[in-house]
Amino acid sequence: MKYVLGRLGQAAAVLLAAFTVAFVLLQAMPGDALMIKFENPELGLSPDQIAALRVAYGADTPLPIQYVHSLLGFLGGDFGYSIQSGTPVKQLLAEVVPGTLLLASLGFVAAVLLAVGITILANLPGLRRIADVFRALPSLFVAVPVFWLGIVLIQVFSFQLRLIPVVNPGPVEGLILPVLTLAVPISAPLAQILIRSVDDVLGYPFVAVVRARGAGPWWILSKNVARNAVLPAFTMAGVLFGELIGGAVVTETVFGRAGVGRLTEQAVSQQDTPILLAVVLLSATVFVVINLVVDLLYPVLDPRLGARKRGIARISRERKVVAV
Amino acid sequence: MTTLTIDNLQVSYTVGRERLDVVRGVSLEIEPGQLLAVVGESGSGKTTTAQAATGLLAGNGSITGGRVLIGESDVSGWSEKRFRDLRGRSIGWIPQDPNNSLNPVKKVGESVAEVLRIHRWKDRAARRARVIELLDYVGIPNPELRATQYPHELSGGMKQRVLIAGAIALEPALLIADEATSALDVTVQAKILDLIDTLRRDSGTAVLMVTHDLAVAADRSDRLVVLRDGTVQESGDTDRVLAHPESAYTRRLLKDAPSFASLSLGDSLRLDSTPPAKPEISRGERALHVVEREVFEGVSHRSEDVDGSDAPVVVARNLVQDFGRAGAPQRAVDNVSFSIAPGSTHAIVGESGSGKTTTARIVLGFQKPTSGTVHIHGREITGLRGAGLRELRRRVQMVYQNPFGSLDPRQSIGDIVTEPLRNFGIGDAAERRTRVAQIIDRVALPATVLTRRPHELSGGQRQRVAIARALVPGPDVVVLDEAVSALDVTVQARILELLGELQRDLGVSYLFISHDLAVVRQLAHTVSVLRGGELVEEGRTARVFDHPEHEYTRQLIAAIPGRRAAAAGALASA
Repeated sequence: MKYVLGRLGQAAAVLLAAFTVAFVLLQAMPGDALMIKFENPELGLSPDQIAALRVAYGADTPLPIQYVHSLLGFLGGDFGYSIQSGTPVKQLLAEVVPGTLLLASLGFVAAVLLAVGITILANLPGLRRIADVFRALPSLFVAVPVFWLGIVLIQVFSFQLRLIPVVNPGPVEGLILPVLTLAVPISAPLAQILIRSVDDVLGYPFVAVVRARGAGPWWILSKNVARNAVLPAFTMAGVLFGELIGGAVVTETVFGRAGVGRLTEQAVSQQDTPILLAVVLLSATVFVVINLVVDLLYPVLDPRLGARKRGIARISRERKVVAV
Repeated sequence: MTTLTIDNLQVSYTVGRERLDVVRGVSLEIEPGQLLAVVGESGSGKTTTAQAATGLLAGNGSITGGRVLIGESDVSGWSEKRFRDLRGRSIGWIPQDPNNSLNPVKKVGESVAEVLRIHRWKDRAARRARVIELLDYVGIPNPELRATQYPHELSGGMKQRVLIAGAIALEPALLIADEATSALDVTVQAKILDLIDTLRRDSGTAVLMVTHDLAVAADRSDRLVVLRDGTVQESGDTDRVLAHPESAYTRRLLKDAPSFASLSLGDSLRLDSTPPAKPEISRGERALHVVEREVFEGVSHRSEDVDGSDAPVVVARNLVQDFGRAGAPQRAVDNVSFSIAPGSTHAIVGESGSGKTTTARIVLGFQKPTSGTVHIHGREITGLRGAGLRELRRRVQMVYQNPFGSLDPRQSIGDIVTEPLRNFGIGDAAERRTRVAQIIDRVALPATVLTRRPHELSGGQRQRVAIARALVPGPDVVVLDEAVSALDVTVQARILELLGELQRDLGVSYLFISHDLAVVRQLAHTVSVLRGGELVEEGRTARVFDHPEHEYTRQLIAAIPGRRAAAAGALASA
């Protein structure tokens, strides 16, 4: 229990750090959303009018006060208003989050299935001759850029095979290609880790013992190796969520889907700070929660738990900062 | 009906394009209830022979000739699938290292039940009952509770019992024990071997024991097969082989095995039996008396009392080492004291967890004790830093257990042995070369090894390099941490001889850390017996071994394998 409370405290600290870093970085960028919106020559506003607008939007308030103001707002669930459209950020997010959540979870599930499938194929006793082909797949997958993959999939499945319409696909059809695009690059590192840890575990003496008791290769793989091999991949899965966020931005843009990724992409090009801040904090929260769940589930999966777990938790936290 | 017949078996491995013949015409037969031991050093083909009997050869190995009969069926040409039905049901297998041989994420009860599930015991309740019955039979207290625990919650001996339970679950006619007790402490080893004996008495199971330890094999087997380079050197009833070994190789093995040598020496300790031809020895003797007076009679030693050269080199007093959090510390070393006379060997013996390695680390200055002092040549060394610590490093050197891991694979032997001289800034380039050449010669290695790399050398040669590296800066004390434990007996015997010679010639003192009492008896002048961090008994080696005062020491000594062989050897020579 003490451990759980400690981990929750750490999670809160990470979120605060993410908010602060994001805030500072967004302020440090040259130019801002007001400039982009109002200094457009077509509007023909005079410098005085612009200055008046800046005061109205509160852009002249000192930064520390702005920081405290936004932080208190966030704590109270008020994410501010989009500068570009004036809509509350909360409302914007509420519109797009379900779609992205669906895409991301399906993408993740597909990635896990793909990775497990590749690992099984690479270790199936009947396929020993072509096992190397499957072992090479993850390296290929990890090298494929998401946007390119998306375009190629549209080309092949929509334009050439005409299996999935590009314009107005049904809700299920519309998900197939984006999910696939998202899943492939995420499945690659998972599959690499799984294949390697299966190899490692197969070399352990206890596997020899099970074999000497008459177990066949499939029994050994499914009843003994699998659970041991999944442990390192499991932690990696938490870390990979960062890729999922980045992947969603590109995928939603390529497939023209409304979603957090798309919203982020637009907000970035317009430097719509309140939206960006909310998106950063949203993804950081999801990230922290997933890693927390992974950490707390670890002792359930591995009765030994121990120092290893904490080591990995530290890595994922470092990784998180990079992802933000 | 013969349980296992191996007839002129030949096995080879394909490595790259080369074919390596590992087993070249091995024959043996085991009757029900018999224990046959296959003994040999590394590379003798003993494990390969056992693997061939179960169809578990590595992927690149194949039987190229001969026959293997389980009962009456010739299995040498069997497919993997047919073998699977045999394994676990007709042949049980006890592995070498109990610590890695149980699935770490499975409860041990499930691990035992697994063999039943593989062989289609569908009824869950029946499986459970059988598992509890088995765990109880192999001597695991409170089996219902233990069955629900994970391997890391069990001790090494307990894990080996669980593995044995799994091996005998389906009452196989043949049990293969592949170095099954080599990784265990000597008292645990004795208990596990007793269990295997009970098993074959109770159910007439035949046992094929594969081991490098001739003493264990001699104590427990009905028949012995001695292998070397894949061929049978000697084969026959154990009593006959021990009393009248026919092959020269068997005689050498018997001579080199430390437990036979030391046990058959009886009361005459090596130090006493060696004629005091060299002044160093008598000096060592004199110094020993000084140390004894101080340590064992409580006479406080003052340097003016005796010639300074006879003062103990190392005096450790009341060492205490705690690990872990301040609130609930784990005491690894609890009030341990000992001294080492110049030119003598002091051994610290104990089983795993006795604190022997921690004590050695304190003497080496790797670990600052929680309390207590260590004086080397009268100088307090605990808590030394900087230049003082560096000087200590020169005077106290170390030889590690594993000669494969302790030498940098990328350096030449010459560079490895020169490194301490460079580190301590001893001599110029020419002088270093001379010193290295001398020490290499001293450890009886040819000068040609200087340009080689560690992987080109055998285990024994590597350990000689490690000894040369320890001796080259001219230390007063060398800490030998299980320094011969990983070596084959014949190699081990040569290294022990070398260590003795070097001590007589150079007057260096050894702190010898070991779990192997037979080796300790051969090499050490004085000995401390540790258990659970506490000093149980100490004194002259001969006294401690011949007239142990503490019950634990008696247990330890009683557990040393090799009695039967020693007795047979005594008969033969009488």
